[in-house]
Amino acid sequence: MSEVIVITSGKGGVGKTTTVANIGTGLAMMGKKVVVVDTDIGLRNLDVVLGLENRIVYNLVDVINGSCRLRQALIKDKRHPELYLLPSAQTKDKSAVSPEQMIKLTEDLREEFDFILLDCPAGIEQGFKNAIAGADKALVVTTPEVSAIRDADRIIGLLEASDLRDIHLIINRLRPDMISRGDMMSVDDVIEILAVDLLGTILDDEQIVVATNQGDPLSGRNSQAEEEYRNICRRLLGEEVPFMNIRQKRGVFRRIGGIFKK
Amino acid sequence: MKSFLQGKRRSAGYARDRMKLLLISERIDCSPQMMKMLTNDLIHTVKKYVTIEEDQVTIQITQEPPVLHANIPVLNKRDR
Repeated sequence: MSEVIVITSGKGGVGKTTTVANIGTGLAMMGKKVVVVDTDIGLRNLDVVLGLENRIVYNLVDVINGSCRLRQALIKDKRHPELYLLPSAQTKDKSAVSPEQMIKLTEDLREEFDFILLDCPAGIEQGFKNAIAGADKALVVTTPEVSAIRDADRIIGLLEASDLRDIHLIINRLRPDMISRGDMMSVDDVIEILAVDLLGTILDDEQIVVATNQGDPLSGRNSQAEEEYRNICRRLLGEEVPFMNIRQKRGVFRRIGGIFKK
Repeated sequence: MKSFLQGKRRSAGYARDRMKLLLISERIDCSPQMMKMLTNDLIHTVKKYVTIEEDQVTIQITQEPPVLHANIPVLNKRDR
C-alpha cells in the first residue's frame, strides 16, 4: 500500500521543504521506498536541500508534457538507496500543470513507491490545488507565530473543502526558552487554536541549518530536531511514539520559572 | 520583579487570544464588527421580554462543530 502525502503550510518560509527532505530521508533510512516531489514550478528548492542540484536532467514538467519518461526524471540519492527526487521545473510558467495531470502522475508513482511526498508551494493558488489533487494525507507545517497560524487555518479549511480530511499538524521552530517565559505560543496553544491532530513538534535547531547547508538532511548527531523528524517518520509508519515534553526537556528554565513563581 | 515578569509574560497569551477570535470569525465569515452588531441585536431582542444585565452579555463561537454561545445574565425581580 502506497501513500501520497502533501506537505503544505500556506505561508512561505515555515519549513515545508526542510520537512519534506527530512521526512523523506528518514523514511528511506527506515527501508521504505520514497520519492519526494517538488511541485513548486518556477521556484525549485528541494533539490538543493537534498544536495542533488547538480544531477537534474529532466523535471516534473518534462514528465507531464511527455518530453521524457518518468524514470528518466527521477534522481536517485546515492547516500540513501531508497530515496528518489522528482525535481520541479525552474523556468516554465506555473500554468503548465493541471490537477488532473498531477493525479495521473501520483497514480504512476504509486506503482513504484511506498511513500510519495509532495512539497507544496506557498500560497493558495494553482500550485497548491495541483499539489493537493492526488494526495491521501496532508501534513500542515506551521510555526508558533500569528502569521503562520492564520495561514495554516486557511489551508486546513481549504483542504477540508477539497475533501482531504486526513490532516496532521507539524509545529516547527519551537523555542522552549521563549515558551517557558510566555513569549511564544506553546504546542498546546497552537493545537487548541487550529484543532487538528498533532504529528510532530520540531525545535528551532542549528543543526537543521547545518544539514541544509551541506545538502545532507538527518546528518547530525545529538540533534533534537532531527530526532523528532525520525519520530514523525515512525508515527507515519503507524508506531506510537510519545511526544517530547518541550518544557521538561529544558530543566533549567523550568527551575528558574519555579523560583520566580514563588 | 513581579511586574517585569508579568509584562514579559503577556505576548504569547495575547497572541493566542487574538488568534482564537480572528480565526473563529474567519471560519464562519463573520467579522468582529458583525459579532458586535449581533450582540447588540441579541440584547435588543431579549430585553423586550426579560430584564438583563446588558453590560455582562458575552457571545462566543466555539469550534468543532461551530456553536454560537450567548451568555445573557438575567436580573431577578428583587434585584431591579
